[in-house]
Amino acid sequence: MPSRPSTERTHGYSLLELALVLLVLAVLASGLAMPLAAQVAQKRGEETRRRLDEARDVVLAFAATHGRLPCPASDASRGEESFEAAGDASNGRCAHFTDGFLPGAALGLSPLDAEGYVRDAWDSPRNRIRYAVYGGTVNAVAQALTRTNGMQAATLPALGAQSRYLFVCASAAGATAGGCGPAANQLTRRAAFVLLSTGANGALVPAAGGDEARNLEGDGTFVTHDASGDPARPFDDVVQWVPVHLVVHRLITAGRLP
Amino acid sequence: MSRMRGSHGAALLLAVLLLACIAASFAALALAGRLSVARGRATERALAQAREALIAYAVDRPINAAVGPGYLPCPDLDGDGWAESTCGSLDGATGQAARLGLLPWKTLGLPELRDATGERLWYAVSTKYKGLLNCAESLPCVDMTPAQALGTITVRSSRGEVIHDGTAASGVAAVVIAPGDPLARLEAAGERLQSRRCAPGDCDGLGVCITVPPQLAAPCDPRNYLDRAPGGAFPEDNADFVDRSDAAGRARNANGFIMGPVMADGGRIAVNDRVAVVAYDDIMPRVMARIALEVAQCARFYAGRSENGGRFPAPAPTCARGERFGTLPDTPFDVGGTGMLARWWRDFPRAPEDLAQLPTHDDACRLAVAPDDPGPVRTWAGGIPSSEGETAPAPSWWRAWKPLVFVTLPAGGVSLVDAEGHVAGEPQAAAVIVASACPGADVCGDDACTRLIVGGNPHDLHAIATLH
Repeated sequence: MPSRPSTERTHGYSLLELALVLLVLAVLASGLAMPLAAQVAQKRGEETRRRLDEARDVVLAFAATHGRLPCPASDASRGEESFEAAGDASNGRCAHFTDGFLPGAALGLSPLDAEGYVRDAWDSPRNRIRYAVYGGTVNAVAQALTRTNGMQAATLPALGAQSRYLFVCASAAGATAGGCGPAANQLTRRAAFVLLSTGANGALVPAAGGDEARNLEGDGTFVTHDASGDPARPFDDVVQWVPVHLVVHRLITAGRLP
Repeated sequence: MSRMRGSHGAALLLAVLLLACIAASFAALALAGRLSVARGRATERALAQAREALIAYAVDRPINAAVGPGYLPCPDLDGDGWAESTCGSLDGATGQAARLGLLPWKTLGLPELRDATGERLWYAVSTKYKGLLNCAESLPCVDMTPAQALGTITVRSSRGEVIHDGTAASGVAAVVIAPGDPLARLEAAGERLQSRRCAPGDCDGLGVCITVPPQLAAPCDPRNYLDRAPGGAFPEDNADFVDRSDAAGRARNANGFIMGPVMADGGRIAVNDRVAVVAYDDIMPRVMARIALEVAQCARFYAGRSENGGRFPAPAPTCARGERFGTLPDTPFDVGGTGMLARWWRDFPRAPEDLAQLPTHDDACRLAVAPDDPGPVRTWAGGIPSSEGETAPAPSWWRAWKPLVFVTLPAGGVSLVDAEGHVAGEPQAAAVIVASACPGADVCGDDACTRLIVGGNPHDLHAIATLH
């Protein structure tokens, strides 16, 4: 039986080879899996930014068509604009100027969740894209930005001269409903509307007093800075805003101003 | 027998594992590919947002009786997001380095835009389009008419061809640059690695450059972001440029910007800057439309006053298109015995007046000397200038634009048609036309200009605003 030893040897090599190959594969797969997870997270971030950008464009298009900015949706308005009891498009009295959601159904956006809202790429029910719009008075015209032709009534120079709209700050420290506190903390005070994604941790309730908590305060002052993994003060919100003069620019282009 | 069976089993297993491995790497590659497309989109999106905000800033900002629309902000040199208040003289002979810096995103009201590699955007502005602190005092500065407000910045395509010539009339008003990843910058003395990290003491806690000048700090030095093309066919350095607006200096404007990517010898990338331009064509037609709207608003306000009963000031005939076509006259208007107002919104002296009918500083017609009262409702104030309501004196944007603004007031109204002669809108009482010369057959459909051709090319150098 000259062939027996050779058979055994062959079997032994195959097993060793297999073990080596498996080891190499395991190393490769683990190397591949880490970047894959990071890539998926990065892709979700990209997708969220893309959705915010699309929302920004659609809100601006709505303004050009209707001569006003849309009112935010409420928790129960199924993605439609939410007005006060006596409010409508002609007086622009929104129910939730600074603590509502993007009215995805009203704007004809897609994809919508079952209730008619747009979600960010993390897709939990608490990841609906939020939307805030300036509801103040400009040149004696109340709710000038959300009232049909309210910006026309307020006039171009007065819109330009008004010193404050919505605030966006670099940090919640010092920020109140009235502004960002120190001048260096202020990113803008002239945002006509703000779009907000609560990010990967959107399903969690943010710690009180933190930057993410300020964004859910709903008082017209928002915070954004680079994402931070600091467990004490995590921040992964994505904030997008449009200044008043860009809204004005679109309205002029559309022939709705001056 | 047994050897063959064993070997076959292992080979199959290996083949399956190999296939799985290949499939996984393909999946990873596909995902990476999609991400790089998404990264490219992020740069394009940031550049597009910056362009739109700059155009909006130039065209739609509030204006006053002295300084009209058309100006762009100075760059941000120290990285605090705000435009510097000044960036060189009117002809561009001084302050050249101050006209290249970071995009002043706070001044523009934007979020802090970043390109796909996470870098802030850079920005250069033409000396003719930048504002000056004392612009209202000089006629050449307030004059932003089509023949004067020429771009002065040269831009080359990535193949080295000049596509916007700043030495001639086709220069651009501004460029926005996404700097991309750091690379080894080609310089006359050899390669220089772009380092964007701030040396200790050069920046404050917020990353603002506190050196004097700010360009001494690495994050504010354009050479650490903007690249230099190899010599020969592409003699271009994006970290410096020349943009003179005087005749003598204009010839030097060939030093401009080059769009990436540009390859060096050996196939490596020498310039990875992505350049977006704000061209003359992007701004000027829109500024003309803004001028038309401003004049129309003045005429509408004048006609709406009870004394005027819907009538407009009679035009000063020009361009041989009859009595009812011409330029706007200056105050005092020749109103004869019609009872119409001799100024844009009032007669003078005339007291008492109905204050409710008078405009405030904010909503007054911008052709005329505005009242001091900011509003929102006019209250009688002692400081009203006696010239209130007169056409603004020179230097003012209106004096520069006046020869280019025409009104047509046909007795039977104006009809609007498209280029094929089909009705394109409701008939109007009158129209304001802004054009760089007497409007021709591409604007007026007949001799007396009772028919206006609308809806043409948006880059046409004329604009129409109607009055009803």
